[in-house]
Amino acid sequence: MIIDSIKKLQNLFNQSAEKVDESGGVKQVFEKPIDRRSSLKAMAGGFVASAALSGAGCSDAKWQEYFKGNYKVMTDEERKATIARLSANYEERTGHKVNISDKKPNENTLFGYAFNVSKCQGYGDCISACVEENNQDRDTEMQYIRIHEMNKKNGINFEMADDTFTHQVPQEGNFYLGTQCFHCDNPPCVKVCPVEATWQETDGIVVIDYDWCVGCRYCLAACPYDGRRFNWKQPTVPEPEVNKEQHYLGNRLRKKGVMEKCTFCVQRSREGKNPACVEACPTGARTFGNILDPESEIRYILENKKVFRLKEDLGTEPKFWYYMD
Amino acid sequence: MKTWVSSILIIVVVLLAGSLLSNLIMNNHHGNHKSVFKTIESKPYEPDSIPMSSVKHLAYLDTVSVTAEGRHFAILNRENEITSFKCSECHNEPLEELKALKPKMGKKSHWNIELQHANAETMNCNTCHSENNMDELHTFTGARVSFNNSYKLCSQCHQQEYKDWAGGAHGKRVGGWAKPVVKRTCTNCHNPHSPSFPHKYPSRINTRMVEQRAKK
Ligand code: HEC
Ligand code: HEC
Ligand code: HEC
Ligand code: HEC
Repeated sequence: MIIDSIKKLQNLFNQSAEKVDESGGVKQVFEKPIDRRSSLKAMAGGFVASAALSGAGCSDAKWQEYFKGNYKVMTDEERKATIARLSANYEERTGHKVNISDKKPNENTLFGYAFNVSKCQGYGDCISACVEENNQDRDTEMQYIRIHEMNKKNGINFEMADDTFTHQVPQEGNFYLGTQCFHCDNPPCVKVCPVEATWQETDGIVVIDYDWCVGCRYCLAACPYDGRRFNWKQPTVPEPEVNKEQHYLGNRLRKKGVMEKCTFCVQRSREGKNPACVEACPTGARTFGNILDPESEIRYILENKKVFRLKEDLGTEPKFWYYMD
Repeated sequence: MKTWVSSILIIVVVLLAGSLLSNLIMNNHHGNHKSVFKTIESKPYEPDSIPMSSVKHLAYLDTVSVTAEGRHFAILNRENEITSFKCSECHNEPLEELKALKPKMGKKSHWNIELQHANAETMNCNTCHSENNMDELHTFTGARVSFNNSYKLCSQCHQQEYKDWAGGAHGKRVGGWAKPVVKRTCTNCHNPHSPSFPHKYPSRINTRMVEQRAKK
């Protein structure tokens, strides 16, 4: 639609060439004298683009990296090539290797998640594990998971909940409810993305191509669950703390001005492991698995517990259920 | 005249916006959206086609196979974890005689064990431990239960938790979500003598949340 493409263009152009934040930590992207947005702008301006790029001393690899396509529609070879460029660049800059996977969804798999509200004690071990596993920005303390402390008298009421508590837990009379990306089967965030930089994979995981995202934040506004996060600054992780086991659509290092969120730890879950939050939880409040498998724990929960989802009336069909016993 | 035109314009805009909005809402509420449960039904599960396995995440674990509620899975070995096992290294004579030695030894042997579970009328050490063979536990009817299978004691009084544990709604798995299934047993999480969970400070707090909210 015309309106859409106007918005899309506006977006591309409004973002002026942002200076990459050089302070502290590891720079997590290709050094960018000019990035994709600004190069498009330059191209629109005339023939200066090539001059600007060669002037900035771009190698072939860098050139290819700037103008690569959307991961979603890349061929296997193109995927391998961009991963090779990204890992080579990381090694060049830091002297350390990263292992970026492009593993596709497994067949006969649809991931689902269940959260036992009466077992969560509010310890927050899940949040810690998530931050470390997914290389989240340490400066802004970005966290995908929120644990909401709620009073039993008020029931589930986010307005009266506290997700910044620092006191001992669990507190008498309170219960704890965790939220993160729910990987909706009808994801509103995917619908509003003007550039198709976010989509749902066949195993149900909603992913983002961080290099295709233009940072318009429509998805952030469209998500009814506060599931998405935006990088207002260059995210930094001290090099020794960087989790080197990565996935292109998962915990690989991000850059300034793009969206990110929980990916059910795609780098782990596609290998048969549980997401880091599930593994870290000492109470067993978190269950993850294949909802197509009738023998799975998650199916036992769906069939034997009174499960519910948040804002069910929106029709978003989250694959994240709550229950209590 | 001008106000007349502009008010018409406003009305048109409002109408347009309204129809757009209602379109959106209709799509959301009454649209023929797929439900996850329909997706589940429409995809009959073919287990053999799944190459997924958690074996490689379990290699280092010491496990014991069990069958509970008709489900076969493994749990973590306990006997190798309990430091005072085997108990018979000391419990090689009747308890009365050991107790008689107590004054000579000064401190109580199991000074750190205090029952905070149910109450004294319901439970004492002998409810679970076997005076005549400390290396094993026993049920109410005297059936012998190894320390590895201590969940069989708990299930006597906590049927619902036991069923949910076997099914997967209580407790947790080790290794991953894929098969084979290995679970934590009750005593990996609950101290049988004082089974409630501890109070503690959260492991990570966010000092920037308020700031982040304001920005959005
Ligand atoms: C280092 C020696 C030692 C070991 C090992 C040991 N015990 Fe004991 N235990 C004692 C002594 C001595 C007493 C008796 C008096 C006392 O309480 O000090 C005792 C008492 C007990 C009692 C009775 C307590 C009461 O108050 O009636 C139980 C039950 C018991 N032990 C269980 C075990 C179990 C189960 C194990 C193995 C997991 C074990 N003990 C290992 C030394 C030991
Ligand atoms: C509800 C059943 C139950 C009762 C009652 C009970 N125990 Fe135990 N006890 C167990 C189980 C089960 C284990 C093994 C725990 C494990 O797997 O780590 C155990 C382990 C032990 C151990 C070895 C582990 C350790 O912590 O040193 C000792 C000693 C022991 N019990 C002593 C006692 C004494 C003394 C009493 C009475 C005051 C008692 N128990 C009452 C179930 C019970
Ligand atoms: C003889 C019966 C009996 C046996 C055997 C038994 N329990 Fe209990 N348990 C109780 C009773 C009674 C309570 C108190 C229930 C209440 O307060 O509502 C209790 C409470 C608990 C609680 C809740 C504690 C709290 O304060 O939150 C846990 C957890 C628990 N038991 C775990 C276990 C485990 C694990 C075992 C096996 C090692 C076990 N129980 C064996 C009778 C038993
Ligand atoms: C992954 C850890 C874990 C395992 C394994 C586990 N529990 Fe629990 N259990 C919890 C937590 C967390 C609670 C809630 C906190 C509390 O009540 O102290 C709980 C609560 C309970 C309660 C109190 C009532 C309730 O449901 O809240 C009982 C009884 C209980 N567990 C029994 C068992 C039995 C029996 C087993 C083994 C068959 C078992 N648990 C295995 C973590 C576990």
